[in-house]
Amino acid sequence: MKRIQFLTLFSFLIVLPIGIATADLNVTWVRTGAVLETEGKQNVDLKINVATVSNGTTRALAETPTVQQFDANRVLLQFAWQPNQSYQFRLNDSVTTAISPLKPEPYLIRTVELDGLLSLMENLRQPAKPTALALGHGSRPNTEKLAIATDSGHLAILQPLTGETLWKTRISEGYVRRMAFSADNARLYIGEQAADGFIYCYDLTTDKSTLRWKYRTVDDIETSTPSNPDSVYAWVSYPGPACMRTLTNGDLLVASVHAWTENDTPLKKSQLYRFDGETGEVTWKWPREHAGAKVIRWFDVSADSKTLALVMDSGHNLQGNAANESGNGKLTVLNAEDGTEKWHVDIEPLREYFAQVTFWRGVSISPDGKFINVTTDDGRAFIFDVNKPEPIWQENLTTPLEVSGIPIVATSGTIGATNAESLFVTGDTYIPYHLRKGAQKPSAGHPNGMTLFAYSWNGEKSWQWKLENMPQGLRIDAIDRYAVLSVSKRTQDPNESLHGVSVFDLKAEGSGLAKYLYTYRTEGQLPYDTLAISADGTLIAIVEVPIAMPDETFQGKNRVHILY
Amino acid sequence: MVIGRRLSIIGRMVISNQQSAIGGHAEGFRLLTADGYKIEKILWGLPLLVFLLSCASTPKEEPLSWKVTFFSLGAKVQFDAAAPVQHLNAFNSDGVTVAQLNFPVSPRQTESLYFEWQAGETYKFEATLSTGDISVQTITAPRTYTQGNLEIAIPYGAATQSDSGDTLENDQKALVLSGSEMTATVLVTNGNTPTTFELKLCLPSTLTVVRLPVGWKSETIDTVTCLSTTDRFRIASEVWYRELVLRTSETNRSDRQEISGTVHFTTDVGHTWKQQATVQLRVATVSEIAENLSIESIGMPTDATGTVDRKQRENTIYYPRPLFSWLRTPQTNAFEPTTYQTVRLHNQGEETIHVVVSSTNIDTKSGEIIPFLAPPETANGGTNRSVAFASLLGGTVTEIPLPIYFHPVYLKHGNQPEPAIPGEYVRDIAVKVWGSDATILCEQRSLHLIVPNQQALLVSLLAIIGSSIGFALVLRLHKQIFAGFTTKQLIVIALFSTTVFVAVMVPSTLFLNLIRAVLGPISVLLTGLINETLYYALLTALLIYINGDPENAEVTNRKLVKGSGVILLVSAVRLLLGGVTFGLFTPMAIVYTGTSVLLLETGFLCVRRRSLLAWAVVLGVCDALSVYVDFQLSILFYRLFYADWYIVLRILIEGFVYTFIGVLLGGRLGKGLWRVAD
Repeated sequence: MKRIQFLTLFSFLIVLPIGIATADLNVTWVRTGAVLETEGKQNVDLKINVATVSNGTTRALAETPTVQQFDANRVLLQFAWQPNQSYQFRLNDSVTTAISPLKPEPYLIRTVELDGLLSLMENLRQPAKPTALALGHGSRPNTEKLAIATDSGHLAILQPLTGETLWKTRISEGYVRRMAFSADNARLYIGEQAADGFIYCYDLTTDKSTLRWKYRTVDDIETSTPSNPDSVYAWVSYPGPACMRTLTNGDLLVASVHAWTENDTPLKKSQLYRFDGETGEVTWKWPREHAGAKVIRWFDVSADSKTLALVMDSGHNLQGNAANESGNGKLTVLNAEDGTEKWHVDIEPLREYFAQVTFWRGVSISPDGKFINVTTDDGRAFIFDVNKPEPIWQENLTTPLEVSGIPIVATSGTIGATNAESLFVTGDTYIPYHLRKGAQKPSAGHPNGMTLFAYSWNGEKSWQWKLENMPQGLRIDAIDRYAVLSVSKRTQDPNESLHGVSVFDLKAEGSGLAKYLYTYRTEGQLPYDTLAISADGTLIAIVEVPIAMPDETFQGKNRVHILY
Repeated sequence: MVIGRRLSIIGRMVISNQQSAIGGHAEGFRLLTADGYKIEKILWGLPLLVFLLSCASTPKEEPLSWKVTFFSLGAKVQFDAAAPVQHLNAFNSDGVTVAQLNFPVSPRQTESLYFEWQAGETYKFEATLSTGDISVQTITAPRTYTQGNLEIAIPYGAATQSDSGDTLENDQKALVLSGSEMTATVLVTNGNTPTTFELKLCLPSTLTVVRLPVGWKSETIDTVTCLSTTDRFRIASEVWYRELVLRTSETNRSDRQEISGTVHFTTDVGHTWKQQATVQLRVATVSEIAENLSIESIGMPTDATGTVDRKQRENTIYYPRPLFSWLRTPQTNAFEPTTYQTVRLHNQGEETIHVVVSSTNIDTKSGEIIPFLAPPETANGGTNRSVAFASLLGGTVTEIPLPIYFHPVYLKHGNQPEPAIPGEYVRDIAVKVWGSDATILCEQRSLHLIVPNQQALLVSLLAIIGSSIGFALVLRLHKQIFAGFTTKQLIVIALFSTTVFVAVMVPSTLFLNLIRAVLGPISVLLTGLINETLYYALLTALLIYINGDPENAEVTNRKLVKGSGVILLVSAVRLLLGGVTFGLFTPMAIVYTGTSVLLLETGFLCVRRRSLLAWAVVLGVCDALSVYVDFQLSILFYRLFYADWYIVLRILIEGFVYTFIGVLLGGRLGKGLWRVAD
């Protein structure tokens, strides 16, 4: 009898309160501090103290943590914590002690559902897809802005920490291809891939965002009508911005490209612009006289906005090569202030396997403007001194490895640059094409495929990291501290379905293992190029879209994840 | 949520700690009940029971089965089945989190936790299930771990990676072809520190090196050739690989042959260790492998999973090219296969064979590769063929789908864009043992590239226009047509038409499908006897009755009436009766009947005063033309495809021969009738 009484009392009086008490404050160690989560609502006037605990004695932190409250239950304390250290958190009357882990953890601030926000299901026959994402870092806390847009012209601007919709509209019927905030978040530039190929500039300083200026790029690069405008591939042949960058003074750089066929003849036109951000006046165009007959694939500009490097090729919109095209790819370096060409170099094809050189996102320039790194689709990587057209280093990263007469080649078109290092991300093996997922076969992936390589600018390998899935985009913050790399693949095989974003601390000393922090995973797929990191590296935004499963259900949702 | 989960966990702890206590005091409960303390016991026991039941009410999951092994970059966690794991955490011996993973969906079969582990330290791994249950494993990291890896891949990709660190030797088996060149890929992977490595490979006497990579040394001791090289790893996890092209001897085929390799790693501070790998070679001839390997079938078109599309014409790509040049070529994605072919390979042997299957589309006459039927140039690496790998397990049939690409417009030798040329091509399918250059099996299959049939369009247009004009004329002149016949003749025409309907159309409609099902395409030889011979026999008899005997021209001329319109009236009655009775009143039937009437009436008009033989020839030709028009209408409207021999068979036999015979037979019947009537 007594034992039953004891057990009952123990259960209700001891176990329950312990459970509740331990659940009171949850600590997540993020890259910039710690997030405290409480069950109950907290007052607006928070009293927070953080102290280290060592040998039973507590010691206040040298610098007071910055407090950022997301909502009534969650607070971010920004401070530099040390791994494997005991910390005491006092939040109003609650006290919690926690030992910091060896590495930070991902923390989901919130997800924002996109179906309703961007009217994705407006056309049920062909639902819209989120296609562009931009994250603007405000000068003051809580002034960050996140813009997301779709292939049917819908656009929304959010406050990423609160999820509040600041403005939403439909700019056109066109495919929003690129977006960028000005450095002060006062303007949002949008480039559409549509019959007019407009570049829009919206003023975000007023209560209701207004169109400040727009520029019709088809006046330079012509327009065209696809043979079947309802086709899912129709957008490809419209003119649109291939790459867009904002400069520190608010100006905008845009590479507009139009690759189409007319009477079954493939045609290409490209034009690079520098716009005055305030007025929309074209400061300069490159080429000056008329649009070039090649495809500008990508460009990058140094942090001081003085040097620009771009890669262009003859395109691959028709089987076979036109006689008047050499098949060479071209790297061109411009003075970004006046648009004059400093030098260019032709990159010849690997003729044994390819008739022409093509690029993907294959050029990047170090923020200090001293070096340029380049990759070609055939798997070669180059480093150039910004003043010399001869490469100072070249490496066959994923060039063909021939077995039984079959070349094995992996993609290598995702790259980045910091002042210290050149980053090359190799992807999935695309020759031979993977068929019949899940079928038993030799794992004939390229040995250097799906790897993030870091080289110093003199060409010495610094570190590398094997990726767990196909790369879908690389972003580096403005202070060269964090690199984020989304990995995903459209697959129905559960063992290949890892979708997420991996975060690397580029300043961490040591090997790839020391640099790798974590991978935040999502249910659904991550489309290419739909990730962003804030300039200070604290916030990460990624877009998730649903993926069809073998049982005809969908996994994941159309949503944006905002992470620390 | 958090409170609930923690309560649930605490509840489980209470349950597990108290299960024995409750069981042990079951007798005590009985005693208390017996002595009358029942109510008091229930009052105390009930809340506890409710509490325990609430904790235990969560449905029981299958116990989680998982295994943790350390590797150079952390620990690999292997789950037995789809585990509902939400979180995976690793803690060191101080309880500090060293790695963690959150799973929004079930984890993959093998997941990696990345952290730098210390040799001999004990780590705790916690897997939190979706139910809130926590499964814990405590594992001590290996005290000795040999870093790095050596892999001798024959063929490339088939070897299993060995980075567990607890074995120094990595044994593989490889099938190589005698008397052929093969590629061996040597991969050395670094551990966690910069090292210098020395690699040594020893080849059996049956292998000779075709091309030695730069920087390699070769020395032969007795019958063994040893190759060696050295290089440096500057960073952790770096991969070094080289390809060695080797040739196997045709004559020397000793039983046990192996390639052995050793790599010695030396760190900057002088620590050394080694990794070894051995590949057992089984040398076989092409004929030995081909004996066990066969191509069961090559299906086309199929989907990407290998399922044959039986609705589509076999071995054919249909390109819906615009009929006129001003209609532009439809937009296509050059990187999206237009269809697939599936090669079914049967491995009758016992061991797994790794193969590479390729297909090249070539011109039958010139033997050149067809550029508009090749994979996109930027994605075929200059091979111009579709390629797939497969591991063929012993005793199984493996389906290997290969994509087929089609480019409606292409640039030929850098000239102006040219449209793809419809026609007959060949798919050259080759099977090689992966890693070897020798072809084991090869087969050829035809590939038809067809476009909308312009001939069918023109013929059908003519038929429609002709039928429309004819129909308009009949409407306009129907009084004159009927006025040309006596009432008696009209009654006879109606009677014959009904006889045609009963004797020809009814059995034909009722039994045609059955006969087709039994006899297939040659059913026309049987059905033609009714449709054509009997019909034309009756029609000819009627024509002779109305027009007179063509062999007896004097008498005939005397009695000759207008005659035109008999075939029209018979066909009209036949069409109406068929339409009303069997629902055959379709636009196709109207156009076909109109064309047939136009042709037969015209032909008959030309020869009605000539001999019966002339009638037979002309009506035979006219009916053959009608059959041809019928084909073209079906090709255009129903998008049907027919084999050429079938078209010829029907036009010649059913259209001409049977009609010819029918007319001659009808002549006898008609003469008798005419004499009776006369």
